[in-house]
Amino acid sequence: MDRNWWTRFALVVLVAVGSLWFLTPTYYSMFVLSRADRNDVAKLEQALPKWSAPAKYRLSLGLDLQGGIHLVLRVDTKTALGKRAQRLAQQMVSYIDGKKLGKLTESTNTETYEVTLTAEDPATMDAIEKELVSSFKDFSKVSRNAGVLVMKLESAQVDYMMSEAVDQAMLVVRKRIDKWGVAEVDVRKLGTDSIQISLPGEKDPERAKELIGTTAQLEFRIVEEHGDLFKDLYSNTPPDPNAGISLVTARQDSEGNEPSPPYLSGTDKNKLLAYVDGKGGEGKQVLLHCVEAANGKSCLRYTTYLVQANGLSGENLTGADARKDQTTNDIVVDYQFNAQGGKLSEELTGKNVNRQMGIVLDDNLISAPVIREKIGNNGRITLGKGRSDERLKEAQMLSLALKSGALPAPVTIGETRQVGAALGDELIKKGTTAAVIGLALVVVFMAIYYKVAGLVADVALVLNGLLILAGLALFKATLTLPGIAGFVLTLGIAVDANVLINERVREELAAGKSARVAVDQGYDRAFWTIFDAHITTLIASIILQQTGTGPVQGFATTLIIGIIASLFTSIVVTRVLTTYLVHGRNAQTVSI
Amino acid sequence: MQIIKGKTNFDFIGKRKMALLLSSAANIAIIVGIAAFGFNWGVDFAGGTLIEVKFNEAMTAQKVREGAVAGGLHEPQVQSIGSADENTFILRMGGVTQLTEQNEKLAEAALRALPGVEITALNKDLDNGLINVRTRAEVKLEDLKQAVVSSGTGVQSVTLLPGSSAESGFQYQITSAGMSDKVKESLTKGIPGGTFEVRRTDYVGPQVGEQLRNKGAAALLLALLSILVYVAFRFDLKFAPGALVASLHDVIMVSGYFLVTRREFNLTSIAVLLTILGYSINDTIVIYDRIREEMVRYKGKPLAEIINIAINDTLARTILTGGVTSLSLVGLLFYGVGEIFDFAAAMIWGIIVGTYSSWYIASPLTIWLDEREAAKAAGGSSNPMKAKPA
Repeated sequence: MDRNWWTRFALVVLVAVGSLWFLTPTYYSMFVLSRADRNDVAKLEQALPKWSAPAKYRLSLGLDLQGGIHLVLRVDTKTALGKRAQRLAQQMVSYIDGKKLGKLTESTNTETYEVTLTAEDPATMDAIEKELVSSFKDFSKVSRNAGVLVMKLESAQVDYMMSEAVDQAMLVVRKRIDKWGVAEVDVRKLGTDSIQISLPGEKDPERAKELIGTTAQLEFRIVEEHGDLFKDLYSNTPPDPNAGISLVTARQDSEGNEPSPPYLSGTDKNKLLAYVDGKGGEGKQVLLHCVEAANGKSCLRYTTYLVQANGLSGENLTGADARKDQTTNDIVVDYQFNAQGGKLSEELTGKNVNRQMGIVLDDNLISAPVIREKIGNNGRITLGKGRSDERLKEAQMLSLALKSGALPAPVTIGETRQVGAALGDELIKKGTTAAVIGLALVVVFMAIYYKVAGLVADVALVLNGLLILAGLALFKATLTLPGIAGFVLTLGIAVDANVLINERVREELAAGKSARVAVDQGYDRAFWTIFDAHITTLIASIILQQTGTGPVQGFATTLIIGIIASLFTSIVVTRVLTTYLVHGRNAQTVSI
Repeated sequence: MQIIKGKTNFDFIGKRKMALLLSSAANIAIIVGIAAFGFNWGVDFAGGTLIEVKFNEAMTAQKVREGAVAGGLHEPQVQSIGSADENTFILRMGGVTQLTEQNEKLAEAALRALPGVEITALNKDLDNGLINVRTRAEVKLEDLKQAVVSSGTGVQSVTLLPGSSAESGFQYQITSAGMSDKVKESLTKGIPGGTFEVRRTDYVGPQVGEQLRNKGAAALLLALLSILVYVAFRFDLKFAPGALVASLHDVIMVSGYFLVTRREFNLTSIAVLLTILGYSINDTIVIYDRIREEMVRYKGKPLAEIINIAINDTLARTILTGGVTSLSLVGLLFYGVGEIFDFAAAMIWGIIVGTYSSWYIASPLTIWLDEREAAKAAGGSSNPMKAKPA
């Protein structure tokens, strides 16, 4: 055996052992942990032996197999954008009016985002046009005819605002799901105008409506001094020790983004909410603030704020924007009210200077900045300097929250797919039985038909199956029912490569070549055919992966990993084995 | 063991005209059939609600359908899945919520008929099952709910929207109950003594359905084109049309499976079509590869003969691969329920037509192209196909 062979042999062994290693977390989560703990990463980490692959690399079951709800919400970005264009057009009119450049009337096409501005006095239009073009950079000029100016929202701006509308809807949806207290929720953007939500274990498809029912409620409510309210509550009626509620008596956040101690902190939103419900006193209410985890996707814990029961509605907001102030380098959020809102804001902030104003979205306290002075039509929230990336993210979140009050993006239910846990269990059983039967049939057939060469192909096939599972675990993919079908199909396709090789070897043998020459030439000649055949299937599966949704995507992912694994097992693995059988033992014949 | 002993010498090329005639006829029939009857679109594409129920008693699809209609469901499609003793059925209905085209007018009339309530605006959102009502004076939530419920549309909740006041009027949102509740209710009412559990619920909104359909068609087209580009690049432009026609043929034939069996055409069906596309090209390429190789070996032989040799030489492989791949799917045929059964059955059918098309359509087509070119360049080389080294 030459060195080259040993290198390849080592590679094959390495890959095989590596695959098994990557599958340890999967094995533990499915067969060692109890059913209920299957998705619990912390429990899995405890159960795993030290040498195991990290718990995050594991194959989890798709919603169709473990039960749960898959939801797709569609954000009506077009309507949201049409409204926004209209609002900007109104701003243009009042801006020009404020500059005393002339009187304008506007009409907005909410489909093309074109704004037609007509001047009362056509003679004033030159100056107006100059001012608008330089001040409203989101718009570009389309045409100008005497006193009529047509401007259009820039396409880059259209894209940006659409994606912002989806982000805004996502924020609202996330806050609402948060209320349900479901573990393992996954909320992500799907395409350009949809939001995909996975809720493992959820049973009631009707709950989806809670997410979209009413538009988000944004309010500004003054934060009250809570004094010893929480401390007294905690000592007089102690919470259930298992509720995860604790009293915080000293400041924990150096930047002061927390209620003044003593306040309550809890890990379970519903339990904390139930504990403080109705304890705020006359005209007041206790609201929770979510302290976000570093990834911004979940809440580490919730803190309690006491706020006034009534406040200023956010429906009068006209816009909000997060940015870095170029002169002070502060990260700020600027927001604007319409005339009515401005008046109300002046009233509210005027008598509450130096108190905190709670920004409340659907009963979640998002932020509580201190009111420095009376705020009229234009307000600014300053988040400070330092850690500007994080700050900017925070500011963007805040501006999204403000916008959801100002410019709600309509959301509709696109898809709801709910599978009961009992059906899931049955599908797993049937799916694996089907896969095992298919695999067994192929293995037996190959061994009978090609004898030793067939056994070699079988070894490669089993390794191929192992590789697919390990690959799925590596990409943290989920196994769906179509995924199982894809797995089975890939094994069938993988065998094709070995059939090609073996038929080729037989041909060479029939042509009178020696065993060694026949094997070598068989492999060499079959290589490009196998390569081409795999690539074409790969192309089809990549396209399916990119365009498919949900379970079908699972099928495509399995297919892609399977095809790549098959190239390796059929070309490298079987050749290493066959080379050993023929060259290593100096065989004169080959069993094929 | 060998399927085919020694060398075979079947004349595939000689029968190409008959094969093409037969295939064209079958393809045209399927296309006409799709145009005339359409697919049995699943909720993925048509939109609507799909609910899977499992009865604890012996039941037939007919009984479930009659019971559901008696219980008040509008035109449900009922299909039995799995083996008969599983008593499991899929019910499909148009509409996502109980506020459907059939009863929205009734619901509106019931609201407008409420005594002493002046409605200033009323709009309905059928996609989400919402009715928004604006009234001059305050109305009891329960009254609104009762009005809609009595008209035959279940109500999940009625809320007073914020911003309502004596000056601007009161705005209410009525959220209708989902279809799954109605199905449960209808089956309980319509099949006395029947006990069942709802195992699965799928809603797909009409817009999403359309979007998914367009996406599916785009995916098929894109896959077809990409594969062609690859074939043209790896082989010769002349091979591409044969591969294209053969793949189209296979996709149409497999669509025929869904047309003739009336099985549901859904997202999984698109996955089958794409996989068949890949598989069929794969099969074609193996033969093309061989043609290319034989062209080098037998320089000067007419292309028709070379193709015959290539197909015959790869015959064992082609049959074996098709057989083994089908073998792996057998388990799914027996243990796959619903979509997965269709996946396996359509795949096996696709493998058969894919194999046939590689022999009788993809390869012979290259001859026509070759002959046409030869006729054009009369007197030129009889075998102008160049053999690129792999």
